Amino acid sequence: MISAKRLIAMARKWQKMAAGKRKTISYKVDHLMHSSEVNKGHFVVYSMDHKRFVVPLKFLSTIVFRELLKWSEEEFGLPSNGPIMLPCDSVFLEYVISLVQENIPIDVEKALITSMFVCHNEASSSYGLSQSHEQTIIYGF
Amino acid sequence: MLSELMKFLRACFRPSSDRYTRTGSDAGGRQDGLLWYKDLGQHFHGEFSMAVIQANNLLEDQSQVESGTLSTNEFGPYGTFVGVYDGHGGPETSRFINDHLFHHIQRFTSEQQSMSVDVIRKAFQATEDAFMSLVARQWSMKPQIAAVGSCCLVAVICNGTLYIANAGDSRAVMGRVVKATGEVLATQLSTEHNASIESVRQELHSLHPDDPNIVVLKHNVWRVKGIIQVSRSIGDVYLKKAEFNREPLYVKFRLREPFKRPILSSEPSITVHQLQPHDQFVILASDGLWEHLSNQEAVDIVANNPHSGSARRLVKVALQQAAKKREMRYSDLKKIDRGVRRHFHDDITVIVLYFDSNLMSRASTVKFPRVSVRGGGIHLPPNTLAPCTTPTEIGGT
Repeated sequence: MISAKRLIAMARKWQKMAAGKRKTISYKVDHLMHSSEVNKGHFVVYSMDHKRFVVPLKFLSTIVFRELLKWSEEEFGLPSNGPIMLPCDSVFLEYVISLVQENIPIDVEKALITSMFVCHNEASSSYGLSQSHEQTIIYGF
Repeated sequence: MLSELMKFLRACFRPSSDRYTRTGSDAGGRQDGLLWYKDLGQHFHGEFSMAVIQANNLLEDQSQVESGTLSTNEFGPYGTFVGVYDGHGGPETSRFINDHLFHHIQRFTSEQQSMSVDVIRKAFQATEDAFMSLVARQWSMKPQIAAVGSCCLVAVICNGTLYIANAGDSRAVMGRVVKATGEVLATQLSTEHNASIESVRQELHSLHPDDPNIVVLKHNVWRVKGIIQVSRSIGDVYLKKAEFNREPLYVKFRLREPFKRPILSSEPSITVHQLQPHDQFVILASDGLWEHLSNQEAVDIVANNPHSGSARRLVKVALQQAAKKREMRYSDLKKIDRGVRRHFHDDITVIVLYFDSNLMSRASTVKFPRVSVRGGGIHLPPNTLAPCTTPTEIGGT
């Protein structure tokens, strides 16, 4: 298990990224509407604030994405007629994607899951206040 | 373990590989990645086509086609039995039905010396009772088995009569040709028991007048007690006998208040049809197909294409629809591994039974070489009850 110190450091980094890098992350929100336009080798997820993300298929083999999908199932059930929605906001999802993209080490991935769990619990209890992204994320630390 | 996993991944990422082809011929069906299919087989009254696509980590759909004698002896009556069993919470119940239901049918047919609604009803009940005994025996070792269940759809053809028995939300749809126009129209033969249907919710309310929360709408989906979408099934013992709705069963399956009456029932809805020359085929499929295709769309696809491969064609169209809804390419959907694949579509089983009018008049005493085919899937040791994916499994890649 990761130390509390490390977690706090991560949370700080995360806050910074969420605040500062929001517009520069390469996997930012995508506005393609038709499936034929989705890049080969990608799938689509939506954040709770209805932003669309086009994600490489290989991300499906990461623990982080598998956890997110599991939580989505617990939260909303399996979608039958539409796309997949993940139980987190776009800022958080951008951050997760940027980390996964950089091939993060396994302990950081584990820490991310721990913090996701906090975010998830917050999201399931208090979502609907879409303007409180940062607060939702920071609460757990 | 790791080498097995690698084999899997290779199979999934190379869909054209025939690594999993179980037999050289088409006799028992072929495995191609997560797809199993038998493009064409012969039953007592015509041809059949069968296909299964796996999405769950362990395939929860099971299915069978049995043609030949429907009793325990060679004197018959002869006919065809088809079953589609869509499991939930794990594969144990659907596998159990696959192993036992047809034998009960044969036993009761022998006793009564003919096929009837009563035979089918008794066979359902006997299967349910046997599974309950199994749960009672295994409860102390693996309590989770009390929360495993399965829908059960059966078609029996005997002496020109088609019996359809259903508990749950699988569906049987007939394709009937209209003589004047040549059109083939869809007629649904099965009655479904899913809480999304208003009459099912009404039935639940009338059976449980003292429980206002017998059905609950959650995230736009109606669920019995907020837990399960179907109101009838084999298994799901935790919702039928209060003694299994307690520790050590997982909290999420336990009801707050003990119940006096069973919440779910295993009683099938049975319909009987005298087959006519204009009845061309019947499609039996788990709800995984019907969430992507309407009855008429499925009938059109079967009616306008060759018999061979018709079940596989329906599965393909359903997966193309699933890919469209998930806003991705079909070619990419096919690359997704079992387990995580469940987020993109359900397990899907399709059996198309054709009726050959020349064979329909064949007496049920005519002997016919026995046919017995079971819908496949990747087989793993049945040593886990975990209904969901194991994230660590893919960690090494």
